Amino acid sequence: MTRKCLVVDLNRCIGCFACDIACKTAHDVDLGVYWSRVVTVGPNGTFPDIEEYWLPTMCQQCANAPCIEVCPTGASYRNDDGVVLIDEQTCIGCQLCITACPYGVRSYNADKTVVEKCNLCVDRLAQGEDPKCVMACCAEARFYGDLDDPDSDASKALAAADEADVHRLADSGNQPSAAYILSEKIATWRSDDWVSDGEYTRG
Amino acid sequence: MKDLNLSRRSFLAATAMAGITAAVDASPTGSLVEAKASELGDKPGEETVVQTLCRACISNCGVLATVRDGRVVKLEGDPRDPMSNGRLCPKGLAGIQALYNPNRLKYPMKRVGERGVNSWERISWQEAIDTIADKLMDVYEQDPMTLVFSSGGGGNPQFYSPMRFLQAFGGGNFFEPGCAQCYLPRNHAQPTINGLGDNSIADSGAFEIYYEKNQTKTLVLWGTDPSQSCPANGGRALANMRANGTKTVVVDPRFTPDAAKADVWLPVRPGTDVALMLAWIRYILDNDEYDHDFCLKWTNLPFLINPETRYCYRANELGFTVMDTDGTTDISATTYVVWDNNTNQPQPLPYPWDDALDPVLDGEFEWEGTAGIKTGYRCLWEACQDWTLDKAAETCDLQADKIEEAIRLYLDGTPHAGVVLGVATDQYEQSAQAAEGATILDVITGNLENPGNISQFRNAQNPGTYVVPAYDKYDPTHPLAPTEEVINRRLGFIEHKGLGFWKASHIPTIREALETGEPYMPRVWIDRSGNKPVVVGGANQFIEACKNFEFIVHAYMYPTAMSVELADIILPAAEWLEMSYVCDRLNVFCIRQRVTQLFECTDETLMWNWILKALADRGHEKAALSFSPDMDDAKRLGVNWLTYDDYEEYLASVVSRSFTEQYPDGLTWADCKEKLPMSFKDTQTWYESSYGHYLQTNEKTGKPYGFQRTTSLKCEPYAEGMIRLGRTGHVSGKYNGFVLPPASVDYEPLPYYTEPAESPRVDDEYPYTLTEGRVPFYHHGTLRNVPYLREAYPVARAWLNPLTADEIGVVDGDWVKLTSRRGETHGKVLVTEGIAPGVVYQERFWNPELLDSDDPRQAWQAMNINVLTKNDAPFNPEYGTYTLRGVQVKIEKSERPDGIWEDPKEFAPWMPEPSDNTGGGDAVYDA
Repeated sequence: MTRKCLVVDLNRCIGCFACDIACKTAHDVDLGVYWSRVVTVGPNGTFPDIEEYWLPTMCQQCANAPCIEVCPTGASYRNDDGVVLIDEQTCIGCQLCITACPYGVRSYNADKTVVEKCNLCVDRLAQGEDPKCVMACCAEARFYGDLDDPDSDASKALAAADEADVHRLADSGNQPSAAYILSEKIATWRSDDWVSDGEYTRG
Repeated sequence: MKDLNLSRRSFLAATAMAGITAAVDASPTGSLVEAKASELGDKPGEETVVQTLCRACISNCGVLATVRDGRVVKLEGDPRDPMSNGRLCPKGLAGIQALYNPNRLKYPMKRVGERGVNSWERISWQEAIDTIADKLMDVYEQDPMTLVFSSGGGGNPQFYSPMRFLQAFGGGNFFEPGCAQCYLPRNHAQPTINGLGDNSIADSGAFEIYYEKNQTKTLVLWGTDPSQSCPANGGRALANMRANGTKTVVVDPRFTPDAAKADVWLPVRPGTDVALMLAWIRYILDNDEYDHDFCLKWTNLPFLINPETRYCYRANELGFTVMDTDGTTDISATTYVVWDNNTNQPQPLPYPWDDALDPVLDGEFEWEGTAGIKTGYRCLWEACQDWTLDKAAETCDLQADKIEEAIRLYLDGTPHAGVVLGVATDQYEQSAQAAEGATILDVITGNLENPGNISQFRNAQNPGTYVVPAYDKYDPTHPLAPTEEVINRRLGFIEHKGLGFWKASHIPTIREALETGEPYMPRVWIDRSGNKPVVVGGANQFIEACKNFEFIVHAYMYPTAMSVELADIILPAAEWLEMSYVCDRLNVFCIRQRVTQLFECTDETLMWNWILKALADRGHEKAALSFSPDMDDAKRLGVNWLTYDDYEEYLASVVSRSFTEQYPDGLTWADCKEKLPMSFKDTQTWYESSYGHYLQTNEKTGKPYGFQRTTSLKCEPYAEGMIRLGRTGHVSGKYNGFVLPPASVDYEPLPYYTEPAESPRVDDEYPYTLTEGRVPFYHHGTLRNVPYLREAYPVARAWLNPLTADEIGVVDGDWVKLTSRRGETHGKVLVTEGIAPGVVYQERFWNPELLDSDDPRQAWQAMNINVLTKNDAPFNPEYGTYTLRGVQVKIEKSERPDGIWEDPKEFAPWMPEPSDNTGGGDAVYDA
């Protein structure tokens, strides 16, 4: 079993949005579409007693991925390395997977009539490189790896964190692999129920 | 309206193909350019990786650019850059979209029709240079001071090249909108006090934060937001420091990401920082938390101050004769005086110390009929004594207990703590006083040159952008150095002499000269920067005055509001991927190398030299001298180059100076490309040789090094150098060898608080206080035409506290009109608890999409807060700073400005259009 995914340390994340732009430049993602999308959570509280964190969102690499289950053509699939991907050739653009995804991190490309999402930069992984967002991350807050491999960067980041500080987006049986580290000292985790609303900017 | 927008866009897209001149320019793209094969990656399909440095801001982060078939296809951070560790921020990542932007200015152009209309005709480099040189020759013969030359930080690779040009030209005024409003106050005042240097993170002055040992226990980030201004460098370093246990205090009106991560956030009212600093100083003195021994032995606080001159007494003034340790040199005129407890009288204190003396730190004395002789310490105490925590809390809109908590955190970390000061306080009347206050904190607590301190003895080899020097760099008597007359005639310089540190003139005085013709009328303006209407304060007033220039040349990578409103000739400048340069990053020297060169775009140093050569050809002797190998100090200063190849060999000679041991024969540019990045010192030595440096013995003098950038070699929190600056032109008493006339007022040696000229305490008509600050997508006026950045931050957001929003009657996403006494503009509301009630934050913005609208003026009017800020008095006495932060505005609900682009798909016309390497302007112009 492998659980390849991203782990993001929100204690480190500085809300610079480099991951989003790195992803877009790496994959020539269409205007208005984000495979990686940083969400500003907060400020919560009342001035000046407030807290805030940034939640970089992307495909959560579910172990029990509903997108794969609902896909009528097998275009949404898990590759041999365990990465949840979309095969553009087989995708018919029916968008069932967009409905099925609990987090709304898939988007429809009307020009290509296919659904797209973060693919963990599988081409880079094949060459032994980290995903582009991990390499660009200015706060060195993003870690890639197989959570079932204790030596992976992602596993090490989780192992170094307090268990209470490790968070995941809501799990309705889909078992998201991606994980976030956020300690109470920085901010209270408020993203259990996060679902993309398509809004991007905050300023 | 929608149809109109569409046609505008298609117009932009179409005109972009042939420069921006479709209506008037019949020349097909590239007809004058003989494309030469790219030097790199010119085999079909083959990829080459080129090491270079970003210049999307002033940080110079290492980049690996992948080139395929002569085109840049991928950018990644270079992990060999020790400051960024291979990370790249949005601005750098967007480099390809900037490089191949269809809006690139591709050829020299001259205006067709009136200023204010976006209509141009393509001309050759030959015609451009000849036109400019003819005009400049006339200016030179009439009065060279009437040339104004400006630059700016937005993507500008060079710092001193404008001053170098003006010195070879023989006069003129230089300005940039940063300078007195960005970095100069810290860059000058901090070393005047701490004898070391400034500690700006964004300007690569705070090297200690990059040391992996991370010995900083507490860091105070005062008006700086590295997470937004330099994410890959300072932002990254801070993430590491926090993770490794460094406590942080953030003083910032805005809840920045660094504030969100801070142990204490002090949301200071804009414009009141000095009141808060005085309270910190008072608290530290009053609670006996200062470093007694350091203050006594290594600062001028025990020195006696002459109540008449306000300078520190020298021994000879009180009738003492002091001989140096050699017994033969009279040092009475350079030896300071203390009040000695043992003898109960003044006594000279030869550097560094005299164990026989027991100097009094805090006192006021009478001696031989002169009363009111105070120690520096007493003067400092008197400067801050009124500033209790409660008073500061009231003035700064803070909570006294939070201020105390912040100070305590700083003291807990002492002597391994530091205060880093950002640009915020450079942007209003108290710029010098804030730089002084922040520096005094580290001095009185002894937070200097210990592990973890930010203030260290660790000079850069070639700080950031200073590689191409002005001619007076090494010798003020150089034949090309400015004359006393030229210096005295710099506009506003005599009144604001701190500007002399950057050889700059005073922007509002230039404006007044343009308005009145006094003391003389500036005639020609050459500007190499992005968009002056967006970055100069009080933009309406300033731009209106600039219309009085006879002739304006604008050099930039793409046309901006500056081009359309004002320029008569526009010159295509190189993007950073088309440039060569060198820069040391901590202990590692790196190079920027041209990865490609598009159209006829040209590095600015070539432009200036081509103009100088044309002047030389017209009989201009100084210009001719700049090309002579016989010029004094030609090797270090560089004989002016006319080709990129020669320029790169000059750059290589600069790099060579840092590797004389390894490469005694020097390095060629080819060597640099092969060998760099390369360390010139091992990391640990580079960092740790600064620790306690001031105590080490200087072999030349046999005495400790001390703090070498002050006159006394000790820290000078009583900054008598500032008084001397105002009276003479320099903290040492001479500016370029000249004693200049005094300013109309004395510069104060110690910080003091002044309520902002426009204050919410008394202003009923304009009740809200405006401040500004960075977003991570743009640097200054840059990159608003880069699709991936613009879609991420499409319009300027006006941050309003929910209480303020209620008061105005707006909700999140509404548009508002902001009005000051100088103009009006717009912002899109972001309702947030991250800003105090009564304060509004908005970043500078402009809308390139409006350049081709029916009203191009809206490109810089629609949402540009600098039409609200000030270009008029009061100014900071020392640096002439005008006020950009802490001005009063009123806010009302409004409509969305017409024609602006906000929907991501609207930015499609700006998606990159890759093109081949042409060799740039260098390939078509034979100077």
